[in-house]
Amino acid sequence: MPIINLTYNPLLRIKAPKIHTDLLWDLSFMFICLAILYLATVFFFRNRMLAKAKKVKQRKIELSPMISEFLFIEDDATKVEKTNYINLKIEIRQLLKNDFNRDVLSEILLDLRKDVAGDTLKRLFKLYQDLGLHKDAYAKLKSWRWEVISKGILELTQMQVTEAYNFITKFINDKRATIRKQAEIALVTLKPEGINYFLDNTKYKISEWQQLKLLDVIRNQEDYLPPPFKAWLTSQNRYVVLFALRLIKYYNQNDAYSSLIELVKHKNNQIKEEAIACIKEFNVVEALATLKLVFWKSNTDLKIAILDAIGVLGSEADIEFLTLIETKEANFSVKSKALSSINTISPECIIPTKDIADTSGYRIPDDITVDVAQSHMKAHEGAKALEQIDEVISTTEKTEPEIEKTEVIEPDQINTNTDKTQENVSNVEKKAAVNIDFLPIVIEVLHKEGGYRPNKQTNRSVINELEVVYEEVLHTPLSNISNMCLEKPFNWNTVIASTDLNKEELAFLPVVIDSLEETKTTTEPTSNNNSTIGEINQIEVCFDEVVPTPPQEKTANIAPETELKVGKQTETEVKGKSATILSFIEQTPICFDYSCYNTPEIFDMPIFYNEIGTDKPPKGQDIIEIEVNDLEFLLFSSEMAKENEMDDESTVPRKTIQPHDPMSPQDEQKFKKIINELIDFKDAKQVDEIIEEFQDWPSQEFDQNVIDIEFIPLVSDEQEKQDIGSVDKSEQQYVSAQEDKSLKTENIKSSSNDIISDNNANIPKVICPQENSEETSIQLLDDIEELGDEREIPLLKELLVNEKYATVKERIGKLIDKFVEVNNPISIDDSLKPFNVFEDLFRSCDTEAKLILMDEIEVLGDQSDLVFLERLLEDDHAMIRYKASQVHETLRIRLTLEAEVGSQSVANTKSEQIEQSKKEETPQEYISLLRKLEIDLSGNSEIFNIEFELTEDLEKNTLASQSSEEEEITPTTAAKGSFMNQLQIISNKIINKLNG
Amino acid sequence: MIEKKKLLLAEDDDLLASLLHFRLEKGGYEVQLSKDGREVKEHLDQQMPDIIVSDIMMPYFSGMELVDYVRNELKSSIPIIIISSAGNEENVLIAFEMGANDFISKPVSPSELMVRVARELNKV
Repeated sequence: MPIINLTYNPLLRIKAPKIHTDLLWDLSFMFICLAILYLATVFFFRNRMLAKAKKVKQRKIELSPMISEFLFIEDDATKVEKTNYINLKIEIRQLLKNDFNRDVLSEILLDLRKDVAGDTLKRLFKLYQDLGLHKDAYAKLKSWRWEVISKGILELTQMQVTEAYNFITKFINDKRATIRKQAEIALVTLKPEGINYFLDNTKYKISEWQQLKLLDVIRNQEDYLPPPFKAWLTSQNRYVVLFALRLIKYYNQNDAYSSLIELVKHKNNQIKEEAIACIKEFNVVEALATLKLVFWKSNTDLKIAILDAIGVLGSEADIEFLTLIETKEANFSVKSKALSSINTISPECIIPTKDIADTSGYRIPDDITVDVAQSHMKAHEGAKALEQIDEVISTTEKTEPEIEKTEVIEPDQINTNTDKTQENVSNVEKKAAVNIDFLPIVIEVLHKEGGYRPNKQTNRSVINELEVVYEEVLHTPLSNISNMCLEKPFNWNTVIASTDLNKEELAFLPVVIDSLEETKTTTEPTSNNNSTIGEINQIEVCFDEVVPTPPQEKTANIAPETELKVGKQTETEVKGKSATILSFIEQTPICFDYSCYNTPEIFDMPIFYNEIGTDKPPKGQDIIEIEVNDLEFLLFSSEMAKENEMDDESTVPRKTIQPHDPMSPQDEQKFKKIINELIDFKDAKQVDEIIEEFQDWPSQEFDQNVIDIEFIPLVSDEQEKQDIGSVDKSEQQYVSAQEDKSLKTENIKSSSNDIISDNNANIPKVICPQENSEETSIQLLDDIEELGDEREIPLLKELLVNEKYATVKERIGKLIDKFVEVNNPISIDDSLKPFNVFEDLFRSCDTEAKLILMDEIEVLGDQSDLVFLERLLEDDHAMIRYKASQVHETLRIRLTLEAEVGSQSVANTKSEQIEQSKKEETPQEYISLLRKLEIDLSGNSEIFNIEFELTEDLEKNTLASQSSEEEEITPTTAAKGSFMNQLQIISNKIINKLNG
Repeated sequence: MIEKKKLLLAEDDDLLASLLHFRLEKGGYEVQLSKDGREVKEHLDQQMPDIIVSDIMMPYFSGMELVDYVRNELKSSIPIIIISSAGNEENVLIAFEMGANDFISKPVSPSELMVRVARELNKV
């Protein structure tokens, strides 16, 4: 027999594949390389991420103070703070040009959002939008990557960008779940009606977690008014129905009974379950029949839910159904629930029977007293009796009235003697109740409307047999007071009289300050017993009034009235009171009626003027005395008149100054005499000359060089307007105030010229040009330009209408424009202008800040800034105009270059230009720069062969600049402007040549 | 010139610390900022501030430990305001038991913090 050598069977041997060793080495090397590459890649990305995180952290630390500055800037910030704020705003604008910085800023704001609350949070939201970071978030919404879109939506949601609502709505049915869920939360967060839109439109599943999140968002919204969610019970999306049911339950919207009952029949068990929960919550008894109907076709969980609902809503009529379930249902849990529900409807209806030991064979030890044993036995008997009653009740309801007829035992009537054991149930209960007297007295059971249904079975319990006893709280005097207050109108007299409170007892009370009228009604004569009451009522409202001290004449007028007032008060209020009360009132500050001051009588106060001298001087001497007294009275009277006008223009009688009559021959003689007395003239001829000069003045031309008077309008606007109306009649009235001799001379002139009309001469009149000559008009306009403001516009308009000279008209037009601009610096077409951050800042900063800002415009500005700079060329401030012209030119060049040259060349030129423009502080530097450029130009033959000639526009500009009235702009500025234009043209031509 | 009240702010979150630091300084306090418990201890050993505003959760040395340190070791009664996260009421109660004067929960309203600080200083 051959022996099979299985061990060495060649068929069973597994041969190793023949692989070339070099290949193995190659493979090993390759895998090692791959491993190294993999590790290197991992390390590279890790380090990159770490480096970025570090950089971000560092940048966050740098930027966070800036953000803090923005968040806490206040309107009442100091000048330094505002300047810093402007600088920061500029700086941040620069930073925002970098994407990395934008990301970091967004991160900072999003981080801060979690940590701050209140007003700061609102500012944070505003800042986010002010910085334009929301635009980045919008851009993210356009991405194809789900995580980017989701992040964008999250940012917009967290920063409360409500404008994004419409953009986000399109993501509500996005197929990518993350985006969809983010959009759902965003919609609900951004607008209260977002939940409506979401429930109306969503086609996808709403997960349980999502529902919880949405609910959390809704319930944390301020002043959120939930919509009636029953509207979505008919939705085709069952998740919407489910969520609506949960919301209905959460917001207790119990007005959808029919829908709820119908939803019990829903195919979806979850909806069914939720509907049952709602039915149970809202006690929808009408749903019982439906519940019983669907019971048999439900799963175990639902059956339990239904039984639970029946237990809560059901009555004894439903016990039969429950018993049936208990007998027929195979499932243990359902059976148990059925029994539980029966017991819920009818407590103690089913007593535990399983594993209950039989106690009939128990023997009582001898050492235990009979009483204890008996009581134990009695208790046992009582329990048995209860069982019997339960049986009876479960079979017929008629037994219930019998139970209710059980004798009510008052706790104090319960006999503690337990020896007399009786066999009936009531006695057993009595004995059981003996040991319950320690229980607290039940005062009251509040029956909730519809919510609480007293269970009929509970009255079988012994404890419920106890009578409800109300404990009476003894009435205190205070309660008397309150009762009295309720019964009839409050009267302290009766209250205090009835409570016999003395003064000491009332000492702790705060002083009640009653109104005057009430005091009058309650301070009727009372008995002696009520003296304390009277004292309370004597307390008055006392106002401390600072009475202005009027002139003596007026004091006399007011004083009787004051006395009368006090007298009245004393008569009405103190009548019937004791002497002490009288003294009390006398000591109190007098209460004045304010209305007495608010009458025109107060304005009857005469206005006192400083009179010059007490003795009436001779007629001719008046003029001289006025001269000597320096016209102080005029100022005084005008001030007084102005004050009075402020109070009441109509009621103030003005004391008028009588104008001087034309000099009669007699007066002339006297005048000569006085002059001779005052001045020791050598001969009479000189005196005649002076008088002639006086009389010739009206016809003489007003010499401004000799009499340099500043016209100060001291009259009110009202009067001014009246005066404007009579400009052409030379009846303008101004008060001239001059401290030196020129004023005196002027006054003499004005009086002698008889300019001042008789009736309106309460103040010295304006020295108005008699002839409406061109020179005088220009002189007047010069004054107005120097001293006037926007209030002069009506006058100027009037002058413009009446003016016949074209040059004067032009001048008036310019003045009006100037005042209009001053009044409303940057108001032209505000609504149409594009938003300009610099312009916005300009409104709230001073000159220094404006100059700084213009430096920034030079570097950062764009096309819109050019328009703004052009407006600044007409600014009032010379420095701003100068700077604006500088910046405007530089910026224009830069923008032109940017527009025409490619990105690379633009960057180079821009940096050069910016550097140059920064260095250029004075026009001389521009010139030097140009010279420098010219030298450079000479080096390049073809490209820089440019014709240097002034164009028509440039000539116009130069002419315009020369003819402008801006004094501050020096000729060099204009020259600089032209040079800059030349520069621009050069650069343009260079670019054109380069571009072929 | 009125001397500024010294306030020690202990907060580990850089951003929030920076924000509160700025606000409190703007409110007229001389603020010393500490990022963790050790720094707080150093500051306290060097100079006792007029008031401490501290976060509960800090590295090395929690807010509660800080309260304990100030009250029991330094035997100081300077006001301490605790900043706690929402839902961290238990720690707040412990901090109160240890002797903290007031607490403010995150998210913090800087204006509210200012009011609380001023109130605590006025009490002193």
